[in-house]
Amino acid sequence: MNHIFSYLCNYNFYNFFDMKKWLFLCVSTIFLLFSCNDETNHAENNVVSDDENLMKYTSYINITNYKSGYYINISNPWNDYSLGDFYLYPDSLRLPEELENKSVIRTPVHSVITYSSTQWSVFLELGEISRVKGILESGYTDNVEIKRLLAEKKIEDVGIETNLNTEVVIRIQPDVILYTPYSTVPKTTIGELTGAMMFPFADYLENHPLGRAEWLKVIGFLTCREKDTDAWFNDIVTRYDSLKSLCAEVDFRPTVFSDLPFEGQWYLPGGNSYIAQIFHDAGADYIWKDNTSTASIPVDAETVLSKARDADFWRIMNSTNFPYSYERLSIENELYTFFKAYKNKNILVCDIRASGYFEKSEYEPDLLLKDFVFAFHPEMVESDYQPNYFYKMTNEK
Amino acid sequence: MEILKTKSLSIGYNDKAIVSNINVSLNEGDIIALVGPNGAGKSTLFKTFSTHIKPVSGLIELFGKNLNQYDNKNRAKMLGIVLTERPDDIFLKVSDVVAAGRAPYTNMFGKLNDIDEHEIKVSLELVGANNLIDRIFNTLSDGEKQKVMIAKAIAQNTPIIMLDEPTAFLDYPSKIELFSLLKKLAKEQRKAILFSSHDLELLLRFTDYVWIMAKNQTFMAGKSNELLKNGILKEYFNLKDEDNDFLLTKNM
Amino acid sequence: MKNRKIIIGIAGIILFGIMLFILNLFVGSVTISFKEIFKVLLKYNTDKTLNIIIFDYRLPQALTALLAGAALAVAGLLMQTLFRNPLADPSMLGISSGASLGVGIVILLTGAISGAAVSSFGWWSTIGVSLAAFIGAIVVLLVMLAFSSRIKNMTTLIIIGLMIAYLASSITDILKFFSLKEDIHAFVIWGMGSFSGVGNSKMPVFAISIAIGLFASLFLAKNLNIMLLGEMYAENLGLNIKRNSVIIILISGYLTAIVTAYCGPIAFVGLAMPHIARFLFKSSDHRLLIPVTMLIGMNMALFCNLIARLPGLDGNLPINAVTAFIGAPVVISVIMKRKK
Repeated sequence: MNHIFSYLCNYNFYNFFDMKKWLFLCVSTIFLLFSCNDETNHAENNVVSDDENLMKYTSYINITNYKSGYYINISNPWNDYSLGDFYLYPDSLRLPEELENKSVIRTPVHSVITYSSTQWSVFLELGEISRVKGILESGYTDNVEIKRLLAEKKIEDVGIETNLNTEVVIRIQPDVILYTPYSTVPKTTIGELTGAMMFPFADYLENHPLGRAEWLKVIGFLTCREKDTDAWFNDIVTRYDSLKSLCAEVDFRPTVFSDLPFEGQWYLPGGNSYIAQIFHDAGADYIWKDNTSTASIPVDAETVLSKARDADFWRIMNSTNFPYSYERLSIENELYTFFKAYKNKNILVCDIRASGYFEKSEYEPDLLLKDFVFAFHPEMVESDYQPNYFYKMTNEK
Repeated sequence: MEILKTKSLSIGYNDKAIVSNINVSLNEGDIIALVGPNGAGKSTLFKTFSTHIKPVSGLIELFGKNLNQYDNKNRAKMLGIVLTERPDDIFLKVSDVVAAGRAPYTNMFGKLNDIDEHEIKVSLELVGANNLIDRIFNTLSDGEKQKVMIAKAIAQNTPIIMLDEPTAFLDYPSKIELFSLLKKLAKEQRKAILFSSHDLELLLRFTDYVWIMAKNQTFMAGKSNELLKNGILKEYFNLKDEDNDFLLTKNM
Repeated sequence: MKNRKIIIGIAGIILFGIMLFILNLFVGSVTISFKEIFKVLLKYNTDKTLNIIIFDYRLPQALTALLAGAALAVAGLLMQTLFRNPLADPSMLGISSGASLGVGIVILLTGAISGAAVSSFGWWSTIGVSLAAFIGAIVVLLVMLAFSSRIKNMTTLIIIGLMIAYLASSITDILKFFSLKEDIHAFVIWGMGSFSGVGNSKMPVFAISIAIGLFASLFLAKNLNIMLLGEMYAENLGLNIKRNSVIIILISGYLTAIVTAYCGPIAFVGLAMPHIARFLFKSSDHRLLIPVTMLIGMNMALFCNLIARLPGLDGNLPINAVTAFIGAPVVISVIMKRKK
């Protein structure tokens, strides 16, 4: 909710820059007020039959208006087939005849199972967490609210991705299961067993930070809160773009590389990956920026040493419960001490669990960006800025 | 001189005796055959003498001292065995096998000194196999392997040598050769030789004593020709009269 | 004359080994010239990245391979003679499975990834995986020692070792089944083996530990020779069978545990190298075989490390893949030769 609030607070400021977006918002707000209304049939007369994609930054999801509802099409990077086609239609209205045999999700959804924490964070943020009845891998979150709901049995843990607890899922009787689609893993048959609609949540496939963040709007569509999620997202876009444009003109772009090796092998983000884009937008040059992969690339230690030794910055992820320190790094592998970023103490670390990185950062790309801009070009950001995710590691021990 | 003596020895497994109250002795120069049907306990007796298994009750004394009071190394210098079991490593040389017999005498790295080398050579000469010394053990014939295993026991320089069915798998001439060798070892080298065998006719000719183990758990020891004369052998092996007579005449 | 052949043979192996070691310093993803390498060995200059690659990355890796190769090869030889089985190898005692289980518990159960972190142990996490592997290995080793001090029959021991190995890997499977994919990935990577886990700072401990085991193994030669004859004969020649097998298992298991803790489970070196040693020198004498097997093990590991890091691959091949490619044909040819 605070996103909505902050949007309203910044209303005047952004109004100046985002006329077009605000206009669009007004139009859709009015339209939405109509479509999620009770009782009336005359909504059908307000058919807006434009094919304009309501999702502006995504590559893998198209949402268009359809009569009083929406049509969603989800594609994938592996083949030409669609991952899913859905019609969203309000509960309160009669379903048009032609949609009788199609995949329809009645909105707002009442019982949802979410595969990832990023999804339920959006529900939580919107105040719609009561619609979530089941989540996966509940042991990996430290979120107080979710833990409370789990303890009160208002939400149930349904297992892990590769091993769903079928019986619990059946008992929950979800309307919709937001699952993570993979090219190699066959779709679970749980949908057939429970009658739930299997909705492929392909946010992770998006490589553009804003594209990935825009998926939060999907949850808005599912819960009839499109207005709010649109506002929320536009807010993000505004902040992100403004920072990005500030950084686009810098004279000096520091160099950066990322991650720690495992068993002598580094898995580095590809040049077109999510984090590589963030680096670029934050006014830095990622050492492997010329690589075209959107996923991870395996690189051996020698190559990393020779190419990244003089990088100005180093991003690492800390998955433990203890903060990293320079000494700990040197004990882990003395090769680390040779990197310039280590010597100059320019290591940017994220405490994954403490910061809720996997849960929230996807929907806060602007904050993620800001953390890096604060490191790369501190003059662009207020001096007392407290990073949310990535901070400069200072501990000696 | 008495080397080994048993006192009311009972042998068996898991405290269950299969033969009880054995009172025998092995003296230097003795050559003794252990006979009896399969399963009567011949191997058990061997295993008890070699301390592989413990006696159920009773004593075994070596040179007047309880056998179980000898430590491993000293016991190894007392009793050498030759079994039907053979090593099968494909690179083992004859010299390696015989040299192993010197193990109780060599240092912790098994280095062979001049004495050891001499003993090895002499042992092979005694069995008539010194031409085989550089051969790979696996390539020898059964008879040749048998000789080498005996040479090893000789190199071990023990007052007692026990052999389990040494003439099994040998042809008739080889059997004679082997028994002659055993007799020579007993008489010339002054060792006590104890072996088990089914070759009744032959062994009677070469042995001083026979120890009989029958299936009904009895144990009897006696001089070979006496056992023949007083009909005990005939009884224990269900010999037909004519066979017993035949043996008698052959062994006069 | 026999001795001369042996000396020439050993000299040849050592020479080959030195050559492989040097090659390991030359070859890698980053091309470095002859001149550069000699300059490094003369004067170490941390300002130059190439120096670091040679001295802090390739050198410790080559040393690790050398030591691990020697240790595993000897451990395998000990197993093969103890159990009188040409297919015996260090994993027969279930020690590598125990190590895997230890690592599995750390990586899979605590759900932490990247850098092998044991979440609740703070900075111990950095050596968490090695420690867990070592503890797992030692636990299994202790169990096997307890059994071997009570059981004379080698076949029984083999079966017990195999069953423990199966048990450990089943438990690991259960852990995998309930784990996140990233954790499984990390665990699988560990299982592929790596010689890069021992840096120059950890090298002294590693080297000394291995050296102790290798040195101890030299004293087993006589007893191992006697064991070749068979249990009954060995016992008759004065060998205390139980105590001997305990000591052999202890030394072999110790060497395996150390290597597995630092490098992950590495297969085929223990299995194939003793056979190469035997066939090269046509001997079963362990006084010769033990040191020779060490040398051959060193060479094999160095060779595999070389192949695994050939330039042209931006990443390295996992060690176990390479050892299998070389080891499997060796084992097959050994079996064929024995049949003859």
